Amino acid sequence: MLEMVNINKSFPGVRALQDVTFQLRDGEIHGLIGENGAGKSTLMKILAGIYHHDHGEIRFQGSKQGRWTARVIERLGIQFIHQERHVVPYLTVAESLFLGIEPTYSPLKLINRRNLEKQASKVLQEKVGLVVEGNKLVGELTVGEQQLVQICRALLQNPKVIVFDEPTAVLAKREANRLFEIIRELQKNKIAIIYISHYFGEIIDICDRITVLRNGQKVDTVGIEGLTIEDMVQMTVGREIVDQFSEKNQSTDEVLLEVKDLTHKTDFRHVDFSVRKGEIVGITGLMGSGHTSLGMSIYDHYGVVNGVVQLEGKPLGRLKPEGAIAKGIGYVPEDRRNLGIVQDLSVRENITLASLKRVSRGSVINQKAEKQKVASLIERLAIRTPNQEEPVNFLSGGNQQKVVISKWLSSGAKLYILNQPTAAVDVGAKAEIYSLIHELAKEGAGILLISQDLQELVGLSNRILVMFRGEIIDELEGSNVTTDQVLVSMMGGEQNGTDDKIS
Amino acid sequence: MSKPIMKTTVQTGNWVKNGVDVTRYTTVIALIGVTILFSLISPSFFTATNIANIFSQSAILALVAIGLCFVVASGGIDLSVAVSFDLGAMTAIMALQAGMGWIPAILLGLLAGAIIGLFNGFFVVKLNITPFLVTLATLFIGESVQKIFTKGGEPIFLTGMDEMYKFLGRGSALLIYTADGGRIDFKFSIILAVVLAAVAYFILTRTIFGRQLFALGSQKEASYLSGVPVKRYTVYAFVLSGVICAFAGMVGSSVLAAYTPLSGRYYLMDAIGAVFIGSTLNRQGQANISGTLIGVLFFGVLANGLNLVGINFYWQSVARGLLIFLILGLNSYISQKS
Repeated sequence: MLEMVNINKSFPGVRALQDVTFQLRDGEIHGLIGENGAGKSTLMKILAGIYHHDHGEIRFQGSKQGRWTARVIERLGIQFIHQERHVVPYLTVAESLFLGIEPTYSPLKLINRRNLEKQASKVLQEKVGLVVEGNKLVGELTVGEQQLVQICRALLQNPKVIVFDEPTAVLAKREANRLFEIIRELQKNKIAIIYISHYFGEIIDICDRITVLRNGQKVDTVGIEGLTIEDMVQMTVGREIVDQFSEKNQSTDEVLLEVKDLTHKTDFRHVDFSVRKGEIVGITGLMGSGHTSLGMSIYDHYGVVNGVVQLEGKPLGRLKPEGAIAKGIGYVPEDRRNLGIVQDLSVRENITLASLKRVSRGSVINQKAEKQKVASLIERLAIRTPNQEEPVNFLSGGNQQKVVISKWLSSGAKLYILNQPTAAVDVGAKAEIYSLIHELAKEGAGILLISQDLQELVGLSNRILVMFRGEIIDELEGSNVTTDQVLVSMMGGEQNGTDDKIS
Repeated sequence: MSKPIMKTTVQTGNWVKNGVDVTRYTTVIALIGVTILFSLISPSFFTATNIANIFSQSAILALVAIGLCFVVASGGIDLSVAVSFDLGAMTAIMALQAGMGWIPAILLGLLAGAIIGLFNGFFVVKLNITPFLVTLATLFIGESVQKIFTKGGEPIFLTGMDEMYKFLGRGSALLIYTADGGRIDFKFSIILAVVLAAVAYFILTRTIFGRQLFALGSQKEASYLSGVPVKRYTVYAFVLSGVICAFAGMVGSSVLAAYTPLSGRYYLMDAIGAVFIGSTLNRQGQANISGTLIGVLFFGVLANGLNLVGINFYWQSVARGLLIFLILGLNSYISQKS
């Protein structure tokens, strides 16, 4: 009933989608899987009208659609249940349920508040089995209940297709089961479902067919019968031979970083691990497992409620980044554009921002020394920029990331905490960043590599720690660790998962 | 015939291509433009005497604008420069009145400015209130305090002012009597402004503090993660602004030999205007000293020229407003075309 044919989409420097064809049949539950960056979200954003495809066409019930705009999408009956829930916590349940589609009376289009609340309460119970007062604030509901309100809102608009984008990532198991029941109910009512998830177990349970994306291309669309988690992993990760990773270094025995019983107020608990000099330690997990916030917490101690972090045997205490940098830690944040670079500053100013003392006499910057240092780093990292004075936001993503990393080379970091260092970086720059990470480790630096990119993790790390719902659940070591093993381990927690949720 | 036309088009093409550079100098071009215009209309405009006047009259505004530059560089705004200006003058004049020497009087005045800066900085950094609201509140309180203190705004006149203090605002750096009896008087305050501008320029462009101040003004979070002491430097910026504006206030009180309550507010808007007009001269739109001085001169030339040309006082601000629209409109028109 819905077809997206030969869809192409490019962003500057990245080919996000290449001739992807996606077909949704009447009343089916269609799983969409792939690694982060494989193109799932881009494809769905095109379907939602947020992005426009460069080439290709979208057909709905056989007829070709010209302009694919939000209005058309709404008229055709395609609804989205987003990953980041768009809820305003200060609205009441009734208000957020009927926002923009309020039942009105009289020609003046008045809204009867009391009536609206009563109706909301009734509709929610009928459609999704949620018992709640209509005047309760959305912020007071659990995440799962908020999601039900969102689903109910979608149902009120007589949808023909509903897209679920990672709906269970933040749900407790009980809530997830209730969601599956609702989805099956929708299917009985002839609503087609697109279901995006990283949890392959769920996919097998509820989907009829799946489409697999990898690196912006479609791998295949297959029926779910007889498929195992391992098959799906193999399809998503692919079997290309990866030669962008050089042979791993032997790490030394000297412990550089030691983390003991580190506990965050919400994101992770009882984390113990160490990084030796010259060692690359990978940390991964499903979204929301706490591994991304762990990196930040080691650096600036934000939100840490318990535990110790030691660098070279000395406890770091509650250091601000300023102090952490002085002790030899460098942090490459995930959000490069907003946290990694300072956009209004030049390449030169960005590179030396964290190490100005090293190129200054007293508090006066020695411009000659600064320029020399920057020139040598630009050369070493092969940063492609017309000159040192170029505003950093004119550089490509990969080169911006090299600027961020060279900031820590300039400060003489001993420990590099890299949070998704190659996210949204083109393939060429990716390989360069890999060899740089490798080189840094060889020179004796310790690397904490936080990543969702399994090939990168397996290709670079001496050891991989797997986190699940805020705890380290597995440690994979040795040169023959495969991406499949890591992925199974990431999922593995799910089978015997608890009912707790981390949000 | 076709050749020169071709040449012109190519040239225009290049101009537009490097449009960023052209737009950066719109203000300078405008400044030169109005100078020429006034010179054409009024024969007494472009004379040594009058030029000395313009510079002397602009010196105090220059001081206030330089102080403000630090806060704007840190990504904030300081409306309380008016209060620092007034309270600096008030403190110093009262100290002189009490028989203190000029050095302790000036130091007390600077201290008053520093306290106002600390006060602003504290609320911005600790309570995380936007600089606009914090300094607006300071402005309200500071102006009211002056009215209460002076019983409705009576100036405090000072008789027998200390000679050194008097020199601040009224002394001459260069005084020439021309043959026809004219007076070319470059005031000492011009030197104060130039020296302070040079120091501020050095601090903002050559020191770690200055560099990191621009960084945090551009992206606070990213700067924090790069080890910039964001909070400390934000407070420093407010303190510098307070101290420099208090000094400007003292120079002003020296000119009048009196503390005149609420006179700072006459500099507030012009100083903000000068800093922001000046920031259009910077590639990244950052506050900068040289641009700010251009902005100050622009206002100085306009005020002086409009008077000489004989524009009614009530209409002068209309002329200033229209000119700003014109310059910035042109600026944005050119940069959009490129």
